[in-house]
Amino acid sequence: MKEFQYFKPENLSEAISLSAEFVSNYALLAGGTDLIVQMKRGIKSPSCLINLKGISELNYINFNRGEGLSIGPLITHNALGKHPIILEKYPLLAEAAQSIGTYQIREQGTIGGNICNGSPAADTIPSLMCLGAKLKLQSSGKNTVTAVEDFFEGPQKTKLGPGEILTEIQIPPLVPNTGGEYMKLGVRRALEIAIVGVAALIALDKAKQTCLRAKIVLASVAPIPLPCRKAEAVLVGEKMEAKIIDQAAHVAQEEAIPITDVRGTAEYRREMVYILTKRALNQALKRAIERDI
Amino acid sequence: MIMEEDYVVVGKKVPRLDAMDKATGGLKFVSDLFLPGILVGKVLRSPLAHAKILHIDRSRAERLPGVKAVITANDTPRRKFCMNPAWKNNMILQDEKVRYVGDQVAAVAAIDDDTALEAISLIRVDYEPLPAVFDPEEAMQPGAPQIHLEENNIALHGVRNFGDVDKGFHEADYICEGTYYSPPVAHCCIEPRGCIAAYDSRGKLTVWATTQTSHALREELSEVLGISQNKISVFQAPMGGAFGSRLGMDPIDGIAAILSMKSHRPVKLINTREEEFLSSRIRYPMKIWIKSGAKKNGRLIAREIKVITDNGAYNHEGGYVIGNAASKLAQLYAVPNMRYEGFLVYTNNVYGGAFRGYGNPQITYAMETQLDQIAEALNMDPAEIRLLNANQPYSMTASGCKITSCGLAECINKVVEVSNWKLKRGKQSSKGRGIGIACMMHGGSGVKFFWGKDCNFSSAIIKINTDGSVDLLTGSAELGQGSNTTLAMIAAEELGVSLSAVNVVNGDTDTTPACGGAWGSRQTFTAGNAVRLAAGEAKKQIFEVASELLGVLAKDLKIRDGEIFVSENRTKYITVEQAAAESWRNRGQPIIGKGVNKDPWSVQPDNMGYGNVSSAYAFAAQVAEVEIDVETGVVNVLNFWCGHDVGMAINPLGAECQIEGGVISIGLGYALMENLILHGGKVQNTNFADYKIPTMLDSCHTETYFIETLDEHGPFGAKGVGEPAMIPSAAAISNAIYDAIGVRVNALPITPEKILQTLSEKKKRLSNAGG
Amino acid sequence: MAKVPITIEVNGESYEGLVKNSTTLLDFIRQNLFLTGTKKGCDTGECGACTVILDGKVVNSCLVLAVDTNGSRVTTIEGIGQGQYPHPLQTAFVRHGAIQCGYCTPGMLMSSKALLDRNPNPSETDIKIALSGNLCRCGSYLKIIEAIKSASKK
Repeated sequence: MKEFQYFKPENLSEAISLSAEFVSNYALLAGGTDLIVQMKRGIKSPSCLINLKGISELNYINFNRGEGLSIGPLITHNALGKHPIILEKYPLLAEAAQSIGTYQIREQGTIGGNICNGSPAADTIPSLMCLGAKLKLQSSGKNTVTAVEDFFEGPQKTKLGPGEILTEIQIPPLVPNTGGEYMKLGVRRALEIAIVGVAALIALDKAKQTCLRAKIVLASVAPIPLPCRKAEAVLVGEKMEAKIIDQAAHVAQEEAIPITDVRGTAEYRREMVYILTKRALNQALKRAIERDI
Repeated sequence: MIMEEDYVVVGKKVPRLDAMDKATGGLKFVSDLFLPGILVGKVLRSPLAHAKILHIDRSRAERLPGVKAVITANDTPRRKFCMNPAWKNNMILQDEKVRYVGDQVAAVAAIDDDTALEAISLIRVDYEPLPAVFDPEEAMQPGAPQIHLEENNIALHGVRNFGDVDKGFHEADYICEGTYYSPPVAHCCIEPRGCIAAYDSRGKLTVWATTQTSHALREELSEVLGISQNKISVFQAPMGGAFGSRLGMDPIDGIAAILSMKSHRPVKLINTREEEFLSSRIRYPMKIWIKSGAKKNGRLIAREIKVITDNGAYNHEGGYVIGNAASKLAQLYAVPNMRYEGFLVYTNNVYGGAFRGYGNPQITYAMETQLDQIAEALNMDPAEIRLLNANQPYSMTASGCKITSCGLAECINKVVEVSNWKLKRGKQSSKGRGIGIACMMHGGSGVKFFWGKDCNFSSAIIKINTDGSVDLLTGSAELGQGSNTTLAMIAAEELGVSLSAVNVVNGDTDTTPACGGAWGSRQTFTAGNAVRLAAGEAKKQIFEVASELLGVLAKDLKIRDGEIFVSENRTKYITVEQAAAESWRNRGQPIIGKGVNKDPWSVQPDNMGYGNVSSAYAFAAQVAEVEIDVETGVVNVLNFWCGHDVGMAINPLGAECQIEGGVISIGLGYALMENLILHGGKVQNTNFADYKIPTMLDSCHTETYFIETLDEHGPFGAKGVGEPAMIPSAAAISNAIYDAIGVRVNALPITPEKILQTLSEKKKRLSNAGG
Repeated sequence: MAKVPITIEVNGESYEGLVKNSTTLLDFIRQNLFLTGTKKGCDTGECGACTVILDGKVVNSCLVLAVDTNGSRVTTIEGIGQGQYPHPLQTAFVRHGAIQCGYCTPGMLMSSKALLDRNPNPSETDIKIALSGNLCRCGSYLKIIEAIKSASKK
């Protein structure tokens, strides 16, 4: 790795000041499971590394029914994936976190890092997008809140501005009869970057048995995590039957723009979008039916 | 002679002697060793697949503080090398041309990693790119870029003919043809290759190498460096896996030596993981066209095969590998009529080398997958057709193999029984499940391919010390396969001492007698026999002393539990310790036994591949059970049942580890997920995320059964185990997939994508056929 | 750039060292402290050969900066049992034949120990998930599972 200056601020405001000071070429270090690898491979060469791990105010999970979930960016994937509230109420986020890499990577890697790395194959992002998550970004000039689905510009390119730090992930309160699922396709059962990933969420109108809201977001089939708006539109207002789910899955397939790379061909990925979307929607529906809240 | 039921040591499950040292992190691998003043070595590798080297400017690298040596081919004797002297065309640093992405061009030795890496980046090489070729069939065409001097880039063209294959096909009731592909596959030892070289002021070179063949390495270093063998010491460092990758000299061994000679300091050169993928000598990729003919009762009577093998950029072991692959056609099932034609073709890809199975996994995949097709056409159960064709003990093959022990039929029957084959075969497809079988035959004692006409020897020295403890000096290699433990057990059994009394010194060229090394699943058999011979000689000396002291004839003596006695009640006895001490102190004769096993029962095959290539042959049958998600194509391997004729399991625990291990990592990976992806000769997947080897979550339930046929030539009846472990695994999985979903994928790895593609092609064919 | 001082507790002993900012914990352990039991297999967090326990978490030490461990507690393979007093896991690994070449073994043992520390009675699935980041090419996975199950009963 190229040598760099290193700072470990003790609080958020110190971190923000450092980011402003070294704004021309710095990187924020959380778990390091992406960044350190990128630095070793020469993909990134920051001249300054700001280690956020000492900032306890960025490491928390809070939940209440009225306000929903707020997660600090330093929460590790293991902590997220094993948290009882996440498992019970946001299983699609727990599934996503548990599917990442390996046990050690999940111990070190953080949700903030997964988001800010901005890989189109990132596992947590589709689930966060389905849940309507918002990201709180702070810098020395301003604080903003942006929807996670507006955060990505291209592969490994996010809208995290110079001097900005992701300080919170906010997930709105749950609506009754909402269910979600994250599915990931890989050849192995660990150490896999998704060939295709699908997060699906369905909110049911229990009385009418129709879909109030649907979210379908795909990983690994576009330059950014891809919301399938047309597929979602197929479902809204409809009775959730096999035929309509099948139709939505086909539409999602058409919305996907996969490429061929070492992990799979575009054709296979496209086919798998259909299969996984169908499965994820069915599972999401099952959960929506089972749950009152 | 010791009777089987009386064995004290062999045949018992024994933890490996070095296991606790490994468990505590105490065992030192090459990268764990430090010497005063040691430098870090790094290699500059070509970014181009084919280019002339016009000029190398190393001046900026040499001026970098902390750099102690920068070398190019000019700093070496510029000698070519290869395991077979007739095939030499590689160099430790290339002088005129580079021929693959990753080829060695220059090297540095510096005070630390960062300085060495920076120095590498400062070396400027001017290349003149040349047209390159990456597909062997294209490379064979006239007008293809010329990689070496051979016409049409054909490194070797081999033919074999046994019996009368045209007559055989004429007489066959059913004929089947197919083409199969085996991809480039990497060893992925968890320890990257490396060595330490230290050249001292006496002109002596000491090398700690991750080598499977320390004595042969010394020989190769001597030739390449121009230093006499007695001025080179090679220590075989403990290895974090080998699987064939460390057979023969690696360029980094020679490079580290030259760096040390130039810098006058020891140099440690360890590959990065990326370098392991870029420049590891891979499993030879093969395109195999195979045609088989059978009688209607299922008996195979003819086989014809054409193989095009991608040699890669340089010669290493390709000629031997394709020869070994070819030999299997007439060996497994003793097919009486066989014709083979093979081309070993240069390309500008990374070159091949030995990899567990040595051509046999590729050919067995083709043969055993096709055999299932034949069985189906003849309406025969796949296990039945294999039983019908199974090799028999004390039989000959058309290629001249003299089979002694053979338990193939027993292996098949065993796995059929324990897998509930009859209940499952053809009956689980509604659940997406299937069960498949495959067999294999392989040399169980090494072969006389390498180095000369009669060169499959092993030697050992046994010293019995004055306290009755034993030193076993063996030139063999301990790769982590448990060889040292096995040889110690053989020595202990033969000498009648406890296992803990035996100390093994292996692979050190200064102190151990020469041995061919670890390859060809040979060490248990060949080195084990040498150990028995050495122990026999030591025992003879001990018995001479004991017979005098006890006043009995030497021929009436027995030895057990560290005691020498005549009758079992041991009224008169002397301990091994007493006898050894007596010989040393009062007779001036330390007990030293020497054994050289020339492997007298095998011969070097002739130019047509005829001859008894091994002294003993290993056989196996494996059954795999799979479950397939037919929508995604993902295969879940549920179970493996392995029946292996090992002759005799010297250490059943060790043998089980080998077999189980071979199946669930290398076997499973080869079948389902491993593929070194090259674009323009450059490896694209140079990390463990993108080059997939099985994780623990991918492992399946595996049961291992030993069929002990007690080979007459093997030590206590033992034969080789290491390579047979994974040879049939891919075909067993492929055949299970067919049972589950009715499709065969002829190109490894059988990825989910290929399964879906094949399923979709089948659907189209059926719907076209239906009109 | 000047090296920075760090103080780190490894296997219960306090060490001081001077490191570059870019030095990983793995390289510090191996090259500064000469604790070579922790291995380098890939240096990019994929093989698990470098697994250690850092402040109670099981991590790939090749992805941790040494400077980031100032004031931390690390346990390496040398710290879980030695010589006459091996850890029950080490004894179990040896007895069950869970060690072949041994290169992945330290990492496997660290992941295993961390597992039993947090879950003394793991199921086979728990074991496989906990060791999902430790690659073994010799294929000792099944014997390792047996060994962990056996050690967990003690």
